[in-house]
Order: sequence, then structure tokens, then C-alpha cells
Amino acid sequence: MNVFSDLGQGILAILTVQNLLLLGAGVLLGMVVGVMPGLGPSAGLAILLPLTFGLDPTGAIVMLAAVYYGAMYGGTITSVLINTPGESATVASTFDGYPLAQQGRAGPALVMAAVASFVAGTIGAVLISVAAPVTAAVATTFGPPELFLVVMAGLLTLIVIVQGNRLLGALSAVLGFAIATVGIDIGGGAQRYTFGSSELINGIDFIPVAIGLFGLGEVFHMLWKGGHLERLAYVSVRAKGRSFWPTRHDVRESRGPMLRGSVLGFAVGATPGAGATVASLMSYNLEKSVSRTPEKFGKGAMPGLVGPEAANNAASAGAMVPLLTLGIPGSASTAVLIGGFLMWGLQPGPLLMEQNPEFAWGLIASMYLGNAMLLVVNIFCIPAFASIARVPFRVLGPVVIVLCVLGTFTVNGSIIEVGIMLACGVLGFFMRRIGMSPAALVIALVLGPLAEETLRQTMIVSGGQLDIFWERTTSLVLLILIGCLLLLPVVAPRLSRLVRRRLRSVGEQRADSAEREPDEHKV
Amino acid sequence: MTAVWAQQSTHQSTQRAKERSQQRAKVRATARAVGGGEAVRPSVRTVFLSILLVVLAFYTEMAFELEWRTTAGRIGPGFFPRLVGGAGIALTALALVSGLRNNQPATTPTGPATGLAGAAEPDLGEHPRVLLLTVLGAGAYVLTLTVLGAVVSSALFLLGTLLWLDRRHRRRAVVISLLFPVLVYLLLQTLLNAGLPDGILPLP
Repeated sequence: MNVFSDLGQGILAILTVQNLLLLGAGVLLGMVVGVMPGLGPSAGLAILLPLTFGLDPTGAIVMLAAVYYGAMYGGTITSVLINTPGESATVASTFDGYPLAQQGRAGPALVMAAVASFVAGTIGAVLISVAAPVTAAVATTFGPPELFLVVMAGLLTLIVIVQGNRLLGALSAVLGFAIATVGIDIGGGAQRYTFGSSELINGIDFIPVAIGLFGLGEVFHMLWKGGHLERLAYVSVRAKGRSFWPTRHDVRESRGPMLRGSVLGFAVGATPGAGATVASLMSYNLEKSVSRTPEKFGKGAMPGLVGPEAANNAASAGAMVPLLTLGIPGSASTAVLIGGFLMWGLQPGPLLMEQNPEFAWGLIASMYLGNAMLLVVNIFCIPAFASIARVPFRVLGPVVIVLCVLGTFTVNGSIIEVGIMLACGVLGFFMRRIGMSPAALVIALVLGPLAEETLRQTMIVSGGQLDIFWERTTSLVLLILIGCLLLLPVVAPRLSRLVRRRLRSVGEQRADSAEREPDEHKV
Repeated sequence: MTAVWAQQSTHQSTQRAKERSQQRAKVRATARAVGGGEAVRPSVRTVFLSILLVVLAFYTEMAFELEWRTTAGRIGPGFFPRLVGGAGIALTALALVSGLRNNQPATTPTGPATGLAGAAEPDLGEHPRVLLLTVLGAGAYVLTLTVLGAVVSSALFLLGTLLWLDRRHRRRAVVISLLFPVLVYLLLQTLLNAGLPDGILPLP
């Protein structure tokens, strides 16, 4: 198995003292950011990205992968202890996580969530090792028309799948494309929308936009809705005593949800545009549907926490497949990562695995090691991180604003960029208020130059004719896929009803057989 | 005693904010009931989308000043911006019209970044004044960053906002305001040589 030897080599390549320290620091910093209410992996990555500028690309990516997973798990801690998801991917973890904590089982809930994240991360790393080379091999056959359509399909998935107003989601993506056109036109060298400013000639960097929209925008939104007045209904967690550890029953009933969540999460995450949030909610619904005791869901059922946790972690791994092989970020966090890649002079895409195998496999390996580190850090430091969740937002809010401002300034030492970040913070606040999607904007901003370039190349190849899109077989397949995506809002509700009915009947059958078994034993 | 007073004060301000929010909701509902209420006071969504429409119209107008095709017959710098501008105007207009037709409320509660409803969020009312003052404070902080330096401007911003938002813990506010900027400076500047402005302090 060549892929596993590649993964093994990747793991060996990053096993240096410096990288392990960076891994540990990344997990710790990620968790600190993750437990701050409202700040998720995307904001955490954006704010902490400047910290990696002094590092070599491998060290930087090792640290960022660790921050990514750390922040993801940090969100789970707040979901379980204070019923406030750190970000949308951990919303499903509140459904059963908080009731478990209220029952005095915060320790087992957090430990099982950490184990589920580790298992899902491991399965995810194995699946990436298999899926990424295959996808990269297919992607090498793609020309400009196919790449343009993949970008469009990715954005469309994001807009169609994410709940909320699709029209406003599409508008968010268009805004991202519009911001991406600022600066010098790559094709002809003409200046666009620079208004004579030398600062804008290189375009608007995505980091100030990402920090503004995700970090500052969230702080403003929390202040507007009274986050500074909130008194947290905090459930404490102690590491002493047996009550901190999960029981055998917890482990037994979590095995299935963990495996199902991992596979489902990876598949959903690998679809460009569909992210960890969708995966975790799908997993919750799946577990509830197939459970023998669906009535316990929402009241503290361990499978209701473990399934979504595994799914959101596996989805984060799955999102790396389109990122590494197509250069398409599947989520807001991977959009920030792709921006980091570009800053280090690495172009994610079909050729990355061929030209920079040590980097690509190093990233996959660091994701795996990041999970292992997360498990160790979590088990020993849950109470310490839980105490960060007790810091009220009226203290955290101003602190986060300072981090956003100084973090943005360190990128290029430009006060204009800090101003752009502040403006994007206000924009992010209004986008949240009216239901637009900051994630779609950032992804479109990152993909904008790629979309424009591939469209330009396509038009050059075809002599300005659009029929090139349906003359090539792969393009035609992608066009059909886009057509299906457009039909999804109409078909999905019916399909979902049908699947739910089937799953419910499976659950009822299992419950019946479970009831029958003790009767048979009595006989 | 001070703690009790502060607790009561926080509770009272939460109550007042809730009452104000409820009153505003009542006024909106009454205005809608009698008709034409939205015309008198347009929703945040309508105002935001209207501004966006003007910005996109300006963007598209500028795109039309750029070439659609180059003299060599290739795609010009205005090609993509015109498509984006056109799509943006169409989508904004559609969103505006659908919002007005559905007579949607001013706010659409959404979770972080995705449009999902947040889980079990308590209703603490709306606080536009707090938001506005924080944005203005952040603006002043950005303007003074290069003049006063990273440590001084950050400390002043933190001191101002923490004393205002966290009135119960003045000592904590002072300690955080003094220590946090120094720690961040040590991390970013001394350790990572990130290039933060020194300003008026002769820092190493």
C-alpha cells in the first residue's frame, strides 16, 4: 500500500522536536480560541495565522492543523458546559452534551467527545490517504473549463446546502468575487478599483477580511445581542474521582455512532461547500433515527453527542481532499488555510501532491498527530480549558478586538489593512444580522482569482464560445452536477422525508427486536 | 455590598434593554398592522441592501469603464467585474423585493457564519448603543495605533472598554489592560519580530 507508506513517511518527516512543540502549542492555542464564545476554527485560524509567519512552511502548517483541531474541540467544551456552541459545527453537540453536563456527567461527555474526535480524525487521515491521490489523479485531467465549473459547483453547494436564505448566500459569494477583483488584473495588468492607492495594487488580502468577518464581526454581533450582560449557566467539571471517566456502557453505546459519524462526516466534508455543520447535524439525525431509544435524545444520550462530534471532526479531515487536490476550500476554515498556503508560495491543486509531496503528506500526517495530541491534551487539561469558558464575554470581547487589530497589523504592517479589517467587522455584523453568509464571502474571495483566471483561459481556448462547457465530457458531467445542485432545494425535502421514514422504520425494528430479546430469554 | 449593587444594576440594565426591545417590537407590529409601518421606518435589511445596491451599481458602472475585450481580442479587465456587478445588482434587487414583499422582520436570527439558528441563546435584548460605542472605540484605537504604539493604544482601548463593560471588576480591568498588551507585544514583537509599532514608548 503505497499511500500508507507515504503517510508513514509524512509522519516521520514531521516528527521533530520543533514540530511536536508547535503541534502542542497549536492545539493549546486552538482550544483557547475555541472555548471563547463565538470564535470558531475559522476565526482562530485567521487570528493566529500571523503567528506562523516566522516559521518554515511545514512547521507553519503543522501548527495551523493543530489550531484547526484544537479550536474545533474547544467549541465542544463550551457546547457541553455552557450550552453555547463555539461555532456552528458544534451546535449539534449542545443537544445532548449540555443535558449530560446538567446530570453531572460533564467529564464523561467531554472525554467521550475527545475520543470520538480522535477516532474520527484517525479514520479521516486514513481515508484522505486513499482518497486524495485518487482525486488528484482525476483532477490532473481537468482543464480550465472543468476547474471553473468545480469552483462554481463548490460555491453552489455551499449556498444550496447551508440552511438560511439562499439568495443572500449567493449575494455573499458575489460580494466575495467583487472584492477579489480589486487590484491588478492578472491578464492584462490594468488596475481595477484601486482609486490610485498603492496599498490596493496587490488587491485586498483575504486575512484582514477573514479576521474582520469572523473575529470582529462575531464580537460586534455578540455585543449587539447583549453578550456582555450574559451570566453563564456554567456546569463545573472536576478531573478527580471516577465520575470524570466514561463508563463501559458509555463506550459500548458510542462505538456505532463514532464509526457511522466518521464515515458520514468524511463523505460530507469531502464535498466542496458542504462542511462540518451539515455533517454533524446529519449525524445527529441519523443516530436519533437508528437508535433503539430515540426518546433519550435531547435529554442526555451519549450517542447524540458522540456521533456529531465524530462527524464534525471527520468532515474537517474530508474538507482537506478538495483543498489539497483541487485547490477548492470546502469550508471557511479551509479557505483561511488556502490563504496561508498561497502566502507560503504553495499552490494547492492537482499538482501539489506531485510537486510538494513532503508538504502534502506532512499536512495529512500533522492532522493525524494533531488528533493524537488533542486527545492527550484534552484528557489532562479539560478542567483547565473549562475554566476559560467561565471568562465572561464582557472581558473576552475587548481582548479579542485587540488580538484582531494587532494580528492584522503584523501581516504586512499596514494600517490600511487594519482599517479594512475593521470595516469588514462592521460588514460581518450586518451580514449576520440579515442572514448573509460571511463564509461564502471569504471562500469566494479566495476562489475569485482562480475563477477569473480559469474563465479567461477557457474563453481563450474556445475563442469566446461558451459551447466548450458542454462539448467536453468532464465539463458536461460537472454541468449536470450543477444542474442537480440547482434542483436540490426542490427535491431535498421530499428525499429527506423518505430517508427519515426509512431510518425510523429501521429504528423501530431494532427497538422491537431489543424488546423481544429479553422476553425470549425469560422463556 | 458593592457586588450586590452591581449585580442588581446589571439585572436592571438587562431588564431595561429587554423592555426597550419589546417596546420596539410592539411599535413595529403596530406599524405593520396599520399598514405602511415599514415605509415609515425601513428595516435594517432594507437599509443594508439598499446601500449595497448603490455600492454595486457604482462598482458595475466602473466595470463598464474597463475594457470588455482587449485589442488582441482577448478577455479584457472589465469582463469579470461586469458579470459580477450584474449578478450582484440582480441578486440584491431580488433580495430587496422579496424582503419587502414578505414584509420580513428587521432581524433574522442566525448562528455564526452559516445562517443556522444558535442553540438556546438567551434573549438579552438589542444593544445598538453598546455596539456603536465599541465600534467607535475600535476606530479610535486603530487611528492611534501607529501614533501611540501597540502597547499604549491597546492598553487605553482595553481600559476604556473593560471599565465600561465590566464595571463590577475595576481592579481586574486595570490589571488586564496593563498586562495583556505587554504579553501580546512580547509574543509578537520580541519573540516573532512581527513589526508592531513602538509609538511613544521606548520599547526594546
